[in-house]
Amino acid sequence: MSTTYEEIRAQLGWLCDAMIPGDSELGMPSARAAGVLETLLPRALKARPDLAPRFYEIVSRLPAETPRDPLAFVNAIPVEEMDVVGRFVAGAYFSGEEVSKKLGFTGFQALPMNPDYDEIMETVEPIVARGPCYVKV
Amino acid sequence: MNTGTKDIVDAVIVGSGPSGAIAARRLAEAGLSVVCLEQGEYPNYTSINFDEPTFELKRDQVFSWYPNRRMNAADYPINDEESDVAPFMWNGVGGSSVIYAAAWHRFQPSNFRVKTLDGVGADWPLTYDDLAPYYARAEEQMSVSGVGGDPSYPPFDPPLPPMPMGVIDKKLFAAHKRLGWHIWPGTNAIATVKHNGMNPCVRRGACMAPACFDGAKGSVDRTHWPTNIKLGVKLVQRARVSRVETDAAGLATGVTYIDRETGKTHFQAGRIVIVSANGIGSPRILLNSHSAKFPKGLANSSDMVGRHLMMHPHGMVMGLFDDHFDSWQGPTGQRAYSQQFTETQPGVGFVRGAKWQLMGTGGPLGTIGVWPWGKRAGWGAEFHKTVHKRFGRSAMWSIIGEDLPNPENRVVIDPILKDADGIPAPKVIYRCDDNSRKLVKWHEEHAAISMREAGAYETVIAPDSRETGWHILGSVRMGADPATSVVDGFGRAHDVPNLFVMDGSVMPTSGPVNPTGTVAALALRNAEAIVNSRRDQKVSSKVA
Repeated sequence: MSTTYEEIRAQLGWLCDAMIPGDSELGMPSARAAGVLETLLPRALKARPDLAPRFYEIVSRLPAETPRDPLAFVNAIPVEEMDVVGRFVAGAYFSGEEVSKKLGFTGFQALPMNPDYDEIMETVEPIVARGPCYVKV
Repeated sequence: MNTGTKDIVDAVIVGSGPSGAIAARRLAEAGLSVVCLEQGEYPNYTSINFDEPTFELKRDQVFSWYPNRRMNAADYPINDEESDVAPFMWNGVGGSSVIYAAAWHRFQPSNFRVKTLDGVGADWPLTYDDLAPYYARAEEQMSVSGVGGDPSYPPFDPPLPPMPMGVIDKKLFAAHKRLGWHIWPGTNAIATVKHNGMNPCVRRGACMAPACFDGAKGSVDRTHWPTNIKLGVKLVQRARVSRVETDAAGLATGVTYIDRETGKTHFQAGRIVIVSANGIGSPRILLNSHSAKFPKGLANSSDMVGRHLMMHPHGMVMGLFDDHFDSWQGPTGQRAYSQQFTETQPGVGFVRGAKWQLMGTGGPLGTIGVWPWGKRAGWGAEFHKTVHKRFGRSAMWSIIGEDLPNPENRVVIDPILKDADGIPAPKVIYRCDDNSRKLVKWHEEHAAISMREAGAYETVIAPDSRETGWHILGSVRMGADPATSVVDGFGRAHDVPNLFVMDGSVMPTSGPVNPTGTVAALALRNAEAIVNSRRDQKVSSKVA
């Protein structure tokens, strides 16, 4: 029988913020404050049904109770397992609107195609002035 | 076996990637009847949406570069356990142009003469001047944009105007001006204005992830297949070719393929056969086409089929900057390139060189992994500090090194592994040599100098990675001598005069640049030669 999100909620409760705490200096929210636990992570898991079972498997093996040193515990998890967990937790975190805004990430948006041809020609001028630089054979 | 025979056509093409598409168009324009067999389907661009918040998480799901991980229905397994590099490709209409970055290059004239210049590899049976007119035509067909007059080439003009210069481009141009090193605005098979049915690029930066959503990137599913079909080319999807058939005289009669929808086997007869299935697929088909007359595989009397596989040694150097700029936006392909060190440098302990292409570093999720950053972002307080340094404040020199051909680097048929249709699968044996390792290290050190000169406060050299096999070249070598090559300078098999191979597999040397420009120009030149010599073309009496 497959694990449900509710069954790993306790583990995620301490895990997500141990991985991504808030950073007041950079103005970044913690994972929980960004909505990872409630909305962003369930959405991320739904987006990658091919990888989600492995995430559930790894997280369900973690203790439900918060370890004494959560970050040390996270860092002791095998790297390849944390790559899976990290991809989902960080992927969920970055998918939040507030987080994107604070990072200055405007998304993969359409930008105008407005080259300044004068600037381009001025830039290449000194390169052209040096003359041909290929080997003639 | 359920076997059906299809009508005889002038040309059967195996594979609908750049070479197959370009050859099909030229042959159809000249009035030849053409059938193209493609094991996959048209890419489904709607399977992922750049607008979704989870885009970055999903981007490698359906359109992963690595077929062994992707294993879509059209993919076949590749045993790459004995390869230092994992080969990438796309199996479907458009071939690997669907997932390429579209960085577009000609070879420099010297790339055709490395044996003469440096005593390594092989000289090509053609020159830059032979190929130049076909480069120009292919660039028009592929909607190539850029700035003309690059002094690292004989004079030529890309047909479409360039992209705008971004913040990072300007930093690197200024740096190279101070260093006295070559740099030039990127040439890309990406439309910058409306052209041949293509839309102008909007620099979304999703070119390779999975593919262009805006109809601007020159992938041949868009640049060629709509026109090809109007010209009467019959494109058969989900048709996996198992072998090329021959008659008692040793002439090709057509190909056997499996209809992947019905599982039925068919024979498609053709007066000529063109194999354009990439540097792994093409030798696989030839080796699987063994017979009593061709016991080592078709066109393989030289024992060169599968040998001399080249996959371009690759390096990456990231520069970390203080200011925030749009490092995730497009074009992905190349914002600029440097050909300062493409030739052999004195006293460096290796021969030949590399091209550097300036690229952005993608979205935030791409900043947390070990590759290309050398170490993971880490968790806890370290996470934010690292992401802050990398995301939106970094640029990358991607280094493509010339790979020296080695007969022991090769594609063979795996004795056990088979694809979903029971066709023996390929095995890749590829080892990076000492020359490649020294070359990459030297270029990484110099690319770091470039980044620092541009203002980077820190540079990062990417750790070695297997997953860099974007270019699969050389395994069906072209040459004038039938004893040391498989096809002649027009892609015609020395052993089978109505069998042609057109793709990167025929390249005797790799050059240090993205190969699709040269692959496309060769296909056009070879197709033109077929048209011009069609009255003299030998064909099997079975299909005459």
